Amino acid sequence: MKTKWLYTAWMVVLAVAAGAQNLPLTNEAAQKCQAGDITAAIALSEKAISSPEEMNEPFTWYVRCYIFKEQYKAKENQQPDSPARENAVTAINHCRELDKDKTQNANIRPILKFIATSYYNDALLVSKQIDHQTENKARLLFEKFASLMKVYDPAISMVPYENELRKSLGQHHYAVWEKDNTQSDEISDAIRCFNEILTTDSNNCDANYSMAIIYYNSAVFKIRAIGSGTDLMEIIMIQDECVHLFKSSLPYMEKVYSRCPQKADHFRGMMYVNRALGRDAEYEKYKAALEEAVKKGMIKAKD
Amino acid sequence: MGFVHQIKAQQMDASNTRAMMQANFIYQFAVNNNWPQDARKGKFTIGVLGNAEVFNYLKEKYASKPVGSQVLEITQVTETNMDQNYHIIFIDKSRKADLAHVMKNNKNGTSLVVTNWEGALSAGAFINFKSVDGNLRYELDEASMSSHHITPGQKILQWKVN
Repeated sequence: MKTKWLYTAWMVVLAVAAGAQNLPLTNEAAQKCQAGDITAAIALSEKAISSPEEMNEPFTWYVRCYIFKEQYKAKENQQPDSPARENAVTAINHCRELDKDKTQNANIRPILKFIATSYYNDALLVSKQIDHQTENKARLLFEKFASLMKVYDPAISMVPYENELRKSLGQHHYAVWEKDNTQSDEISDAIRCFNEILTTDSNNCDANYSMAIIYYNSAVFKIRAIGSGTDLMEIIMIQDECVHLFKSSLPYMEKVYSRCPQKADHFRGMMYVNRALGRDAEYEKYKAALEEAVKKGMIKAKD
Repeated sequence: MGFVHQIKAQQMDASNTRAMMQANFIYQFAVNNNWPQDARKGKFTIGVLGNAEVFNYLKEKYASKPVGSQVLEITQVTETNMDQNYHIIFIDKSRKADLAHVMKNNKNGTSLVVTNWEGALSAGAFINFKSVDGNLRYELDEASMSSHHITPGQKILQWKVN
């Protein structure tokens, strides 16, 4: 239904534009695009932007960005480095430069938002595939999203979006480290990503919880690695290091527990960190509080 | 096109690190103390009274490992096998009432009695875990150990706390 409506709107735009302007190559390119022949539409658009009669018309560039957006949707929407999308952005920029009277503004805006959003989604997608060396790929896609969104809405704050990307990057770095604890760069990267969030929003629940878990789980994994080949002195040293990590985890978990919406996992977090530090009374206190909260129906035990 | 990605949060590891550390230390007590000659044959036995997590970690990590020329065997102690002779018997604070019985049974034995509550050493235990600024450490009664013919190793003495 929505597709049909957009198609009708596109037809009206073209009909008005075709009647108002003498742009034969551009109009033919648009018609080919309507007919689904994107290859032909692109070829005609190439001619149009080389034609002295049409190259300086904003409508020519609007049609071009529409065609490349369609190309992206049809063939390249799984490619973070899609050339069609890049071409669409270039066309949008040309169109805006030429369009002093903003005659194409209403036409451009939905495409602008569509492409910006696609960059954001790709940034998050790529953030789940990166490692210590390739994090920049996701950040570059995000920068493209941010620059387009600022055109779409100059007042928009990028902070929530940027923090979502940082969260995704942090969680992915953590996941890589969780699979292979020798990847110490990954855990440092995870901490850096969550710290970046906390710099802009010190009470961010997800970032505080993630920091608590990173420090806590790092210690658990070190303790888990102790075995029959570990010397007593080594055990003492590992434990010292782990206690430092548990103590680093605690303030983040306390913040989550005191400031964030209650969840059973937050109670458990306080239980486990205190237990790890040998604070049995605190462990029992939070255990009782969890049982009470579940009993009163304030939270679900599996949250 | 809308914003599509949902991000799943990390999970906290639920392992009881305190129990893991107690298990690690108990193994160290096994390999770094010296038992009399007649206790150095057959299997080296560790009994755990209470605290299933310490038992499970010991079993998972150290069962069948060598202690000198002996093979380590881990046993969950209950009322039915409490009077057996173990090289080490760990009594959890949840079973502190059983310390007196174990001590009585070990009067002339060579079991190293290990506990984890305040005051256990003065109640007869030989080694007792205690918390020192978040660290799990241990205190020990060298004289009690010696009277039961167990000689604490240098490493064990080096890291004890008072």
